[in-house]
Amino acid sequence: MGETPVLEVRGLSKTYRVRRSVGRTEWVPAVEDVSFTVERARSVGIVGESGSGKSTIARCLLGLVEPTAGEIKLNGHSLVGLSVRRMRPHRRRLQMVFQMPHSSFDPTRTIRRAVMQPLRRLRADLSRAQREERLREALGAVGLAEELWDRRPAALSGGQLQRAAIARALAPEPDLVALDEPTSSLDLSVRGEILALLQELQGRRMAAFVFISHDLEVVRACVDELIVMYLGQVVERGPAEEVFADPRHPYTQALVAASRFAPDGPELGPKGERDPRAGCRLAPRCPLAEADCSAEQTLLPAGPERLVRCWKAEAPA
Amino acid sequence: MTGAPLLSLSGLEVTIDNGAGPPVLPLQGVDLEIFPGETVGLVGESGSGKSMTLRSVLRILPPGGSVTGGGISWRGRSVPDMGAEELRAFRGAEAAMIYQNPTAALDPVLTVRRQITDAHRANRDGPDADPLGFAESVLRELEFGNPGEILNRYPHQLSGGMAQRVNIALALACGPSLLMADEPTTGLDVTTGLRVLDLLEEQVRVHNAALLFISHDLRAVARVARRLGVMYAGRIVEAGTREELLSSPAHPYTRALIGCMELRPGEPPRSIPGAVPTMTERHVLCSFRERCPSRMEACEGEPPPERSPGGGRKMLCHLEAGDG
Repeated sequence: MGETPVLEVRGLSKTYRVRRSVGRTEWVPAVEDVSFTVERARSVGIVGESGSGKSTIARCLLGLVEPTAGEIKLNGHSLVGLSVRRMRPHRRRLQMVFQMPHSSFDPTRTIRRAVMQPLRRLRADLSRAQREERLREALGAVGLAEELWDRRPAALSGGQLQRAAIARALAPEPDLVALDEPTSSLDLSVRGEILALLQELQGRRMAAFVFISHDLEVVRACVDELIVMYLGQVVERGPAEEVFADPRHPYTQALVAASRFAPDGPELGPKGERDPRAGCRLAPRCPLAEADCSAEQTLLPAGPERLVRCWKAEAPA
Repeated sequence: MTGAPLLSLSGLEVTIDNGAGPPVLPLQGVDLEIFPGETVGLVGESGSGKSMTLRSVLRILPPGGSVTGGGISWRGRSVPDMGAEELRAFRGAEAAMIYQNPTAALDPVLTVRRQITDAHRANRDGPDADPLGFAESVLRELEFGNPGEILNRYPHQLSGGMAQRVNIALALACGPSLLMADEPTTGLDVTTGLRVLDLLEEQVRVHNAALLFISHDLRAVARVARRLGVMYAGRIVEAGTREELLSSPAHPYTRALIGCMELRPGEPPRSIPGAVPTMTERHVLCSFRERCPSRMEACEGEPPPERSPGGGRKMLCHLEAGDG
């Protein structure tokens, strides 16, 4: 590649301190030693159940929580430990689209004002006319009808508002957009519309995407690379189509089967409490678990560009 | 189906007039019958009227809401005409409901034990009633490894999937003949949701109850229900067995919805252009015609006739069977 990647995450860890009762404090590792890079205008999907750490990664990227360890570099510049003021120049390079469109907009402001605000705050380098031009480009790119630009959020449907949220994220011309479950609050008939839009924007290589969701099938439709997480660890990663067509980790296999509602995947046991034992995190739920699974698992190569955290997946089938 | 239906909705119409803006007509003629022990699913987008259908059965319509046409009958008795006592006996013991947000549906200040045993006592008191024994066994059936420990917990100490399984236990504790579930897995992870659906289906069977399940996700509905209805703009536009509907959908809306569900690699994800019509007016003509790819002249002239595209299937559409 040669070029500096847009995003470089190295050994990212975040441990939360949870007070269970007086004098009893637990340390819960939400994210453990996660590394990945996103090349310019490429897209990476992070998939996992709640508690897998996927949203914590997004929060670390945006500087909303401070990582316990590890490095996050945007265009080669470290973001970890920056003050609000030192973070500001990087803000325009990094934008976010949230899950619930109706709660991520100020209900009293028109769509035009909502999209203009980040432009004014983050693109002081542009003239007023240039900002106006950016606004028109962004709202045009997401296909939001012009008569809706001066309406308030309540007048828009979920799908229309999610288009506006994507426009708001793209307007300051970021290098990276993080999308946290951007379609899971939408109806099925609208979901396809937003996924098609994301695919199209991806095709135009406007920005790199980090797409976070619990629904593997949806993520796969829009990304180049997939990262599958379980209880804070990466359990599998590789090119999206390959991982979806030939999942190697039992957890990924279960997710693929679940997203098709097909009965052919390994049936996972019920999700229990977090098990502090060493060894494979999935073992208590995994139908394939045996004695050797109690050893600490590492990410092993499973083909070109593929990694799997399961000793059983390593051996050729 | 043999025998008399448990629940029968005929031409059900609901109006909501809360003084803020024009009255809304969320249900515009719903026909549905559920027989004892049967599993029925309704699928539709938000605003299609599926939640309103369940709420009208339990008479928990939002403020200003009332039944303005057609009827709801439970074992031959009219639900809208039930008196306070009769209604209390009907809710829970005969028809119980599971809600979308599992944690909010539980009382935050009572333990799981108290909630399940209270529900059991209130609905099936008798000399040999054993509320605690029931609570333990039903939680075990719902895959809680240690029911004794779960019984002592408060709702905030449960994860979403655990809370939804407790809600199923709570509904079953009432001993209902019909269990209604309103998007019970929407807030859950895919894998957890799938597990909850399978447990729900199994427990409804074990406890001899019928199930009326609604969701916007056709995959979830098809997982638990043998008979399906597709709702659009306050009416059931197509109904049939799950095999019929999934393998050969006949109504253009059903076909479009199935198209949206399938994400095929290398093909752009599909959507249904246009929006659900406003529900402030009565739709005499087909309410889907503005978005319909098979629209024809007759759609603008006359209301859609009820057709039988084969089997026990019914649909509201001008298309002849095998057309389009």
